[in-house]
Amino acid sequence: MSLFTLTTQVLRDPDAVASSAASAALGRLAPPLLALAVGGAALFGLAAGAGSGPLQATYAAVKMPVLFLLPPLVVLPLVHAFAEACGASVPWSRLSVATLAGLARSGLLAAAAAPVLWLPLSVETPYHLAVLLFVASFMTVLLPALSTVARAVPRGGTLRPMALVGTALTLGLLIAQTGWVLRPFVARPTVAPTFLRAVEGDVFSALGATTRSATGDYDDAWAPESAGVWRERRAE
Amino acid sequence: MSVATLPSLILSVEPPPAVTPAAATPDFHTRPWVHARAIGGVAALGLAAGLAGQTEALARAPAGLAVGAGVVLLATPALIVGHQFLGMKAAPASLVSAVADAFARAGIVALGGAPAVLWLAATSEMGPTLGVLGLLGIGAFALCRVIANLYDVERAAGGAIEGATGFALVWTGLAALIGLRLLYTFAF
Amino acid sequence: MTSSTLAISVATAWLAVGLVVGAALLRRGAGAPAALAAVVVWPAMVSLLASGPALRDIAGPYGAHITAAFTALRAAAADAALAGVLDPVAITAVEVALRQADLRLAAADRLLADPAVAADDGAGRLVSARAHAAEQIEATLRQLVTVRVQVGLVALAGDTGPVRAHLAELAARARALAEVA
Repeated sequence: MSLFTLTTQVLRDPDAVASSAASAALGRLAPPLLALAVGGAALFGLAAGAGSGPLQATYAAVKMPVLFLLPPLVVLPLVHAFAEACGASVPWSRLSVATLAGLARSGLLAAAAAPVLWLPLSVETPYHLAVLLFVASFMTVLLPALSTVARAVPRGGTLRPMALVGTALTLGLLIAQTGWVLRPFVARPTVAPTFLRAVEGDVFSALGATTRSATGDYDDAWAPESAGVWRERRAE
Repeated sequence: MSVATLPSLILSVEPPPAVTPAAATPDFHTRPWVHARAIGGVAALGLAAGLAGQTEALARAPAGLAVGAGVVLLATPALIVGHQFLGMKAAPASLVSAVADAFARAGIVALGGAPAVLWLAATSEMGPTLGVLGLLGIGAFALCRVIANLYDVERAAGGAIEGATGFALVWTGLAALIGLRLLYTFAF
Repeated sequence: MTSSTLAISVATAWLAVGLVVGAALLRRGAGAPAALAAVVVWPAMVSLLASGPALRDIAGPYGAHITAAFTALRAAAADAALAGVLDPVAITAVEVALRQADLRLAAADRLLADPAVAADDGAGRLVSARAHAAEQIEATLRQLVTVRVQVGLVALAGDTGPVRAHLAELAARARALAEVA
């Protein structure tokens, strides 16, 4: 199957590709689907980092496929486990093909969205607005992948809404934390391009600090209290 | 232009039966392999959460197993006694297997969630917190599944559904309180 | 151990497992592209390790004919002039179901090779069922040639709908066969 044919099929009817559950199909489809996902994500990363110069754009293009691929792959066992626990078992190979097909579709949509993202970032958009645009675009292009995987699980079963909520929350956590680990994608124009920053804290402590900053509290005198989400409090 | 009809590939094979919701007596007799996977899953979740922590956090890794075992041991007798005292129809063996099935399914979910907890714990200091949240999540799943299972066994035994559902809700509330108390003891 | 170190360790472990899975797939006869893909997305590829040898590696009496027929059909589908007429996914589904039928035929042959089975009163029914199954496989293989001819004719006429509809119908039947198997 040519890459062009597969591209058309993934965009028009990803469920038909996802239903190719035979192992022979998985081995044959995985490389081109992965190529589509990685290529599209890289273009999206290129657009996200373009506002901070070519080097930052290159860094973002290298890291973006990881942000696309890692969270759905890590949450794949949870999807399979929930399906089994709810009484709607789905073969692992079928789920795998559905995930790859969904990611390929999202990659293609991301490639299409790349110029849309690049336009506002290329005109010196304020940093925080640029980050919000990036996050909104990312979630928009990733959603079709998630819906393809969700449709691969047979209907029926018990407690499916609970399974969906649990999976969505876990995936959201994974995307947020993975994005935090791989930052920066959209960099401040005044900062020198960096590939990765040190993994310090977590996305939630960063959100907490941002929230405090938003309330006007810029005090840096914080001391860790204990491990976990609630790990920082004002030093006495 | 029409294409000649291709021959059927059916080689003395019946079409697959239509998938219908299970209406027969529920069978919760899971195989030992499933129970082993469930126990392994809860242990894996705890270990993943304790990965990035100190020795103390790692020592709290089996907390989930302790909590699950404690809830089953402490709350199941009350389930059986109360169920029979109120004159409901399902057999005690069915009740026990309904509870075991629910916890086994929750353990399988824990196994599926362990990789996600591992990655999050490895890249942050959220490990212990995620371990507790994970246990709360799978505990909630287990108890909701218990309610569904108890409803199914009572319906299969021909009992009154409203009474069974109400009793199941009361019992899962008791089990939840026991679980929270045990979680506080073992995880903090 | 700092978070950075742990994250790097987990990432390295991910790639290491991917390399092991990729190497295992190569040994089992999967192509280099699939093995390379497994290095990155091994959670989605591990099912290939548990699936047993590739279906095309274990064949019944019609294995070689099936391979030749679908190689030719795929070559026709890949022709740029005939792009979009045949659904590649449906072709794969038909091939898988046909190979499974071929394997069942081989199983019947092995049973009939046992003198005790051949001497049984019911062996006659097994023989005629086997012959009927073989006839159907041969008829399907002949029809695949017809499909190739008609794909060319239909592509010239511009009306690809009936070909695609029929192949989709065949693929749906093939999926039903695979589920039953």
